[in-house]
Amino acid sequence: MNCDTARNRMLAVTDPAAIPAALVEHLEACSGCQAWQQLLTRIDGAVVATGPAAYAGKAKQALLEKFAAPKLVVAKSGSGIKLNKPAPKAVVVVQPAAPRRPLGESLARFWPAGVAAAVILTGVLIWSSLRNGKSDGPTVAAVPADPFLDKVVTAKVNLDRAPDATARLNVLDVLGSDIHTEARTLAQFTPGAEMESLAAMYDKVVGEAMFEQARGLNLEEKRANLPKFIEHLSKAEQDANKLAADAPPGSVQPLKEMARSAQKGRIALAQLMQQGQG
Amino acid sequence: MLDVVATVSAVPSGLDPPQLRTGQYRVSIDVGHPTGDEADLIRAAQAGDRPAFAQLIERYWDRLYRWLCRLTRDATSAEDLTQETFLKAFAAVGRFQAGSNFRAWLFRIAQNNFVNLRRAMRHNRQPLVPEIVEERRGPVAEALSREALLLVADAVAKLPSDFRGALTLRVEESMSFRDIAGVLGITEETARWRVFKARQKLMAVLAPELLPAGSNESKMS
Repeated sequence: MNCDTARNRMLAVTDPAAIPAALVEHLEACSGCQAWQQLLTRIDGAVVATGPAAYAGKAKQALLEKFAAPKLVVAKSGSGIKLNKPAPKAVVVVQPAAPRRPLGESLARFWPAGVAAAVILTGVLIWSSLRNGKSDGPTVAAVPADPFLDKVVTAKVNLDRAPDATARLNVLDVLGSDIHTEARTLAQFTPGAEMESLAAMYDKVVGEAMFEQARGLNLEEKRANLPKFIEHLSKAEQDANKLAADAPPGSVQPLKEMARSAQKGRIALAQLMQQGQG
Repeated sequence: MLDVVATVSAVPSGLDPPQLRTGQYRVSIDVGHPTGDEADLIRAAQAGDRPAFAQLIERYWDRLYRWLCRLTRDATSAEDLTQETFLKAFAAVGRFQAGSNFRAWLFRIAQNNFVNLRRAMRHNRQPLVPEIVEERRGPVAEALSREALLLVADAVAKLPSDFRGALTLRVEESMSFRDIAGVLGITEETARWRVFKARQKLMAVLAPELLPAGSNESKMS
């Protein structure tokens, strides 16, 4: 047997330390191939021996804590998101409040208390929008800092300042998009109650509040503005359906509800346009 | 995978392959499918049990990270990819088929993440930074000099990532060629060929340095 053939066979076996029977005779007669086979065997071990340094970062522990931590229970005031009358003073009770863990910016924004507060604040905000932007003063205080909550607060401020229904529709459109974006990421990490809260919030914004504002537009304003919102809702509906297809258990249903809310809002706005044209 | 530490206290006379020395060896037995305990954890995770998934993270983080370090040659990228892999795995664990190989499935997600990262790196023209390796002492390390180990580490780092990934799955994870194929999304034959080529390239670099003069030359017998 040729040495090249023997060595190629040794390279191809699963474990070079286990010499195939067909090669034994050659190895016994060829000291060069014996040495070569010994080196090949040692190299496999040396690859393991010269592996990367043992993991010493913090991401593993942070991720473990994220998954091992018990879910937060969020108690909401009963009528925090009612539409037909002024909301009572919103109260956010979070228990038991585990300390916030550093898991990078992307995870920090998923703080469930922020979502819960945002849900309640959105209820207040929608009620505010239905009163054509008349401010009812500060409603929620002392809630944790959270990028998403900041967006909701900003939306409320903008709604209060909006001069007309068109401006309020634009604010609600942005808010709907923010909720959708939040749900897109939250779906992967905290399926369940938080996602359900977001879905409910989304329905109030795009399924109800936008329609209420659109009703206040005249025919010209409807023609000028509604197609843009209809298109946004159509894309949001498709996106939510796609996300639901890949989402973990606990996020699928809320995402489907969000798709239905977007569909409901889209159809309602389209009907308003048709009525105006009729 | 079952990890067993075996101690060889003496090598019987007449059985003296040079690679077998006294000392401790870690023997990995690939069982190919989740063990009972692991299958329970996976089922719980599929039902939304987050602490159960945390146990799977605990079980596989270091191995996944080590392999991704091999691929990326950058500890920070490897850490990010490891975290991303587990988050994606959690999102998709509902679709994991009971009875199939969870480890291979997890490494497959990691491989996809790595491919995406490599694509982005190419796009941004940012080279992956070689990471300094740690030398772990053990029977093999003792059998080869420190200089030889550095040669091995350097040669492995210079392998194309496709070959490096396949070789390290074989020698570090003791994966079968079939599982390597599953992880890398290639055929079993291609997996075998990649390991073959990786070993061949390593030997081409190392044999002239580490073998006695004349041992590396082939001859007819």
